[in-house]
Amino acid sequence: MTTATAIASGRRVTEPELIARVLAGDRIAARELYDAHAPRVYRLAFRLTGDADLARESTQDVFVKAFRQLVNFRGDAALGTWLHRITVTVSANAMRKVKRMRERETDLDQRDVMGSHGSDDVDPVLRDKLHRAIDALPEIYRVTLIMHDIEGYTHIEIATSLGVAEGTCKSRLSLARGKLRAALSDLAEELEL
Amino acid sequence: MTDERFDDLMRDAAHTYNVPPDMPPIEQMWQSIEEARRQQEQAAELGSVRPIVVKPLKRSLLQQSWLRMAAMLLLGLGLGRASVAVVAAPSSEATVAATPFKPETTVPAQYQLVTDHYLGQAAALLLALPGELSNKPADASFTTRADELLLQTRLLLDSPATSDPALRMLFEDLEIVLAQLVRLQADRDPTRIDMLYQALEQRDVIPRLRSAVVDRIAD
Repeated sequence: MTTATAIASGRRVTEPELIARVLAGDRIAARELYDAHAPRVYRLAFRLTGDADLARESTQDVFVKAFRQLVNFRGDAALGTWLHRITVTVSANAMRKVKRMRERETDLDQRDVMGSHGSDDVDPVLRDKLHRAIDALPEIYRVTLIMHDIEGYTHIEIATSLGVAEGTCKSRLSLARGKLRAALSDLAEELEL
Repeated sequence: MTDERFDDLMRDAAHTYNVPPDMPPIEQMWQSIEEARRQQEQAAELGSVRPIVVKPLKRSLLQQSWLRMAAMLLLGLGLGRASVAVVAAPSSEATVAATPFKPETTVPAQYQLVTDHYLGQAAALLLALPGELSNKPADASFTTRADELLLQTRLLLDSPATSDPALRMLFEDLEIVLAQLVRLQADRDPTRIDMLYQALEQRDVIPRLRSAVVDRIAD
């Protein structure tokens, strides 16, 4: 039974079944796997790179790599976790190559547009400083902070995705937050926060 | 800064820091992925040919059973092509002006009839799609038709009906679109609806389908 016939019969295809079909060359199964995971992968790539082109290229690379290496996927973790692990690596490599993130000049007006859905209670200057402080975090802290505080992954999910212990993940998050607080402290005092 | 205030700032960052667009370019990325995979497969095929060529053969070539079978297959294909050329020879003038969707002369008539019927049904279904998506609740008969067409697509893809490469590509794209459509009926998630429209637009499915239908009617 192909994925097309499984879909047509209304039967839900399980993830291991889907993987087996992709490995057998079933194109619909590959597309279904992509549809199920691409929005989240793209989202994470965008959060990490902050650039639409880099996020798109990273997402493409993630799936090209994933399809090529799917035969080596052991299923110890969920497929999504495995994909997110590839996403973190690919996005970091993409950013290193382009060096656009740290060097790019985003003026305040653009930040305001990007932050149009933020709370009115947050001072725009403070928000901008926070964003720059996140950008300036060392990679391992930044990834952990973005995945946990921005994207809402659990410590277990992050630890599995990054291949580190859960405790390491928690301590990285704590250090990342400490660095952000330190970076904001002067301005926060000025604003009497 | 208080812990509470810092937590507020981080919550704000979740809505303001590197915010991804609502709708990622799903279809555009998929096309690039497919293209990259195709190139990898081609490179792998080329790579696998090289060692076979340079590898010294210890036994006589025809002593190897797989090679004998491959030789017979090639001979069969060659004979088949030669016979097609003979059959097609009188209409060679028409071949020059052939449109991409002209069926090959070797496609049996019954497959051509089924393909014509299928294309008409697929065109009708996709043209009715915008109206169907505005219906709440979903029309069950629409899903049934899409189901049937999805199965037919696979059957036709596995048959001589799609020996024409352009028609085959259209069928492959239709298979993706129909699979998306069937899934959509169970769950009308706006993201999935958008993915379906992206697939239709970026693959030019409806114009290609219309052109295929018109070409076949003209025949």
